[in-house]
Amino acid sequence: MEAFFQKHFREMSEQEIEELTNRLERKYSARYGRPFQVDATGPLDGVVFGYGLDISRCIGCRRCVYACVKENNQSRDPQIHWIRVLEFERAIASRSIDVKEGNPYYDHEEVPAEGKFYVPIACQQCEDSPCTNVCPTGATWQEPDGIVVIDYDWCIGCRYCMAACPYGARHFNWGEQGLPAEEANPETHLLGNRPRPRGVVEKCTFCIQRTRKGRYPACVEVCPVGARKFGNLLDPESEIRHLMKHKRTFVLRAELKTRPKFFYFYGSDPRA
Amino acid sequence: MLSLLQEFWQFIRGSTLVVVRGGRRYYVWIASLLAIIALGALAYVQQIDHGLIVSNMRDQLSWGLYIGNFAFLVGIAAAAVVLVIPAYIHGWKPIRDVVLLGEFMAVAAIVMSILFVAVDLGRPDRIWHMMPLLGTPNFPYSMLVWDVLVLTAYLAINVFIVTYLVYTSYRGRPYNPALILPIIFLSIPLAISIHTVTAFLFAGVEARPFWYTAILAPRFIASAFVSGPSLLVPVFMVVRRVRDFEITDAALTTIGQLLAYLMGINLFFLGCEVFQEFYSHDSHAIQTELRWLGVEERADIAWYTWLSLTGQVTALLVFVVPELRNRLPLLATGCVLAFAGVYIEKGLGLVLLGMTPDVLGEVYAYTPSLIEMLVGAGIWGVGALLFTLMVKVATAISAGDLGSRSA
Repeated sequence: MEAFFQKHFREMSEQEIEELTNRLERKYSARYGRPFQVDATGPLDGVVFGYGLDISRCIGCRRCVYACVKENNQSRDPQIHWIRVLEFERAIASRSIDVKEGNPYYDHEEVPAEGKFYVPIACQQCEDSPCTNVCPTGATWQEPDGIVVIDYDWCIGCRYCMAACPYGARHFNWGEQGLPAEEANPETHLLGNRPRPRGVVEKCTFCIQRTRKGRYPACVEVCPVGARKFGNLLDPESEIRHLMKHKRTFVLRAELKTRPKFFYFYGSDPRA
Repeated sequence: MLSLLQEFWQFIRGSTLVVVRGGRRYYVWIASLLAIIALGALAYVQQIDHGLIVSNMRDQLSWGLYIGNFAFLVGIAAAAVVLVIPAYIHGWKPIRDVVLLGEFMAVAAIVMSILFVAVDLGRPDRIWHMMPLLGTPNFPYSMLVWDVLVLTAYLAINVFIVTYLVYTSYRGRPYNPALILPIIFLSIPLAISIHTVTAFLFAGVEARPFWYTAILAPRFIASAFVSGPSLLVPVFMVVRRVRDFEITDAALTTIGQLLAYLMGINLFFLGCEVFQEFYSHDSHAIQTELRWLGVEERADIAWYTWLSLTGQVTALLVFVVPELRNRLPLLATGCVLAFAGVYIEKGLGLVLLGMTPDVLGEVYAYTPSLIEMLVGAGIWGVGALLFTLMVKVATAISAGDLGSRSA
């Protein structure tokens, strides 16, 4: 009953948020048989997160996909992957990268496969995010640090955001989340990787539980070739800003003017 | 005031008695509808128990049969104005006699469309989150909030109109034009707005080229104005056979004549859409191919497209040629073809083509699951039941079996 009458996250007082996280901690600790932490750390001042991905380095190994599943408590069955790695024919690179032409289902003995290149895709944390505009309840919004989050207790599961997202980044809990107790990550954030109820939408949050505490997202840490970069867009000295300056940089589906904070790099710009 | 309430209570009681009594055929019809509704309810309980995973919708195609039917039925509800305008503004006698049944259809259709959105929700327990005052509606940004507002207003207005009209005829008095006509006139722009907003819900989605077109709202209105009257004509033929209620042949053929214009406009808009799809061949290319030619994974879609087009063109022929539309069995056939054609195109095709292939280019071959079909059938059953009960009461009054004087 308490859960039924719960307010929208953004209308809660600090005390109400504290009560909620305590309640959820007790609930998850009981369900998964070990102490769970549900954190509600807010955005840091002067920080807007940005992500960089160097497609000339990516080898398509999908380690990021599985590290993300583990870190962010994604459902194992039915399977949910926040990151999808699209495989493209090299011949297409001479034109442009049309995400519709990528294949997420490649299955080779070894990667990278001959004549292919790879473009991992997840939530682009758009500045002009179509998903938050269409949401009828305001259950998804952009935080001051640029992360688009979802209040899992406010989402009504209409899936309008999924229709609106041009990147296929949003995923729905069609069934009960299949998360084996021994695999659950107990370090969670209220608006991020805490266990999700059935019938609501979820997506990448730049590992909000880590990044708001100064750590890298799990996918950045796990990438064996250093293709993944992350940092503060407002800090001119940050690695991400340096790369944006010195690499050839583009965003996916730029024609839609969604202004992603997820940048793709290829090669160095000799002029920079 | 008290006597007015008492009299209204008598009306409710009398109406209840009328709807529970009837001949054998009536009982069989009501029982079958109740059975369909019960099956739908059972299927919905399954969905509540296990989640929407019992549907065949998935992340690649996150809307399906439910939202398609929602869009289609908002159109049926809006189409009542096709009768309301000639009846109340032009005072066409034959249409005026039947306009009440058109308004019944609107009420039943809005109830169905709201139910279709409700069953599509992952968290129906939280539906109040989008309501004004109770929740946090994302107004004016979310078109879904607009849709809820205009649908609620349209439902309220139509419930008031039909209740008032039926109740005055129950009391054997003429209705008060100064009271009801302004409300009826208000219902006309509202009818257009419910379907326009429903179209905008899709047409505002830049990520889906099949929906992202200015012609979508005009197309929605045009096809709705075909499907609504096309449903009414056969229904009228049944009503006048089973009930003591006068619906003239002239009323039917007049609607047939209107349908000639409406179907013409509908097919013209379709033509505009098809021209751009084929001629420019840019972002629409994949949908165009899927829709008209079929791709490997979904060859069936092209079959449906051509079936729908054939039905609508045949219907146009029937409606346009006076010798054909004036023969009632042919007119009814034309109406069934037109209705089915629009249902395939809007009820099934709109969502399917908007979401196939998905934004990452994947073709997910969706067909509704048995549970989705049962829930859908149950909702259609609710609509048919509502309509039947309203017609039963209204026809009992017009036949003199129910009224404040006969009571």
